[in-house]
Amino acid sequence: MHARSQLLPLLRSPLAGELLAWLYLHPEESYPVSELAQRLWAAPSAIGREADRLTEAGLLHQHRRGNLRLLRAKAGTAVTRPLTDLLALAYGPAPILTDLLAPLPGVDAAYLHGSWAARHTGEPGPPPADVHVLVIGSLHDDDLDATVRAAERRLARAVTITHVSQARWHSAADDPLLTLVRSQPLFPLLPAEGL
Amino acid sequence: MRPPDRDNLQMMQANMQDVQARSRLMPLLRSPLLGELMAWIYLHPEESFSVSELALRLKVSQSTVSREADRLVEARLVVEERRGNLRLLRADLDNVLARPLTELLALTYGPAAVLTDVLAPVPGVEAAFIYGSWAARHAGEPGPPPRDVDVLVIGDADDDDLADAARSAEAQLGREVNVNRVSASRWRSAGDDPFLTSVRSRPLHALLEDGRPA
Repeated sequence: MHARSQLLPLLRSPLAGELLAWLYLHPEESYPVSELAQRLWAAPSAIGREADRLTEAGLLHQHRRGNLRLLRAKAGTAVTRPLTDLLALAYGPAPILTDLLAPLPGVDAAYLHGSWAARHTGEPGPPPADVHVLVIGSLHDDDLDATVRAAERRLARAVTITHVSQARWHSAADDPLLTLVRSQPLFPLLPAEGL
Repeated sequence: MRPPDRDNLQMMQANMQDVQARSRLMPLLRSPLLGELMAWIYLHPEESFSVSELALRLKVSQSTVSREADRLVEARLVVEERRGNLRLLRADLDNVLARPLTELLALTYGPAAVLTDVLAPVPGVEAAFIYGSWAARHAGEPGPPPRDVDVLVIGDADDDDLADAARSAEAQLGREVNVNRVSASRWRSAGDDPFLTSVRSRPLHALLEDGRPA
């Protein structure tokens, strides 16, 4: 999934971009390698290798707590701010929408679809101009609106959330929108325990 | 500078590619050449450059620049325009990534592009080099992103002109630029000068030689 991603086709590896995006968009937190591997759908050894290179480059900070190897973004370097901005625009939709949707009651599952998910799976094209999210469950409209506004502020572009019930998602054969969504790349955000 | 003959040119290209293969300025990138190419294009956002001109500047083959250009055009990071046989490239400023990308390129690969521009028109600059942490990172020494940029100017350029050039580079690069000037005779007979001895013993990145872009 990572090897072909076209979200920022300047990078040595898309995994390096996704790892940095997760850490730079959560600058106060440290994450164990194992948790990052789970979140980013990668082998812990692959995360460990990237972490070593990025630490040597002065972009990440590593420390150990017992058996755990913890990683965190290196704050306060010359490149911290523009790198964070660039990562938020290129890879940000996944970490930012995961954060915003995870605490909301009634979210059974959430996916990114549309141009971002297409670029993520390797379809070439321009950087996605907007972000499309599919939420399955019974979410409150006010929560939905607040999520869209917060996501738009952080991602600096239009965010659209399509909200469908479990029942409709599972019997979607004759729904043209859902049929279309299912036929195109989907990037899973939640539930985290399904990862 | 005498125009290099073919063997010399090939040797220069081989050396440059060797440096580019190892450069640690932004070890996230697919290749250091990509960083230098993008920095040159994005830090001259009003201008278009031909593939042959970029190949000459970056001391690599035209086919190498062409291959990178194909991918950058496909990703809409670079706009391409054909004029006769010429393939002209410029930054795509409509791209949402353009602003942070420009800043990041200025901080990483930017000093080579910007300092050549600001020093070339200053009278009396015989040669100019970047030394210190930027040059070390460019030559492949691992370490954190360089905080400031140290420049050595050789010649009898006016100190005020050099200070103006440094301020103008700082405005474009977003960080401190320190320019040191020494006369050509002091540079050539630097055996017992501790500062120059230390500068010579460490990586140097040539900006200007014989008053022209290196």
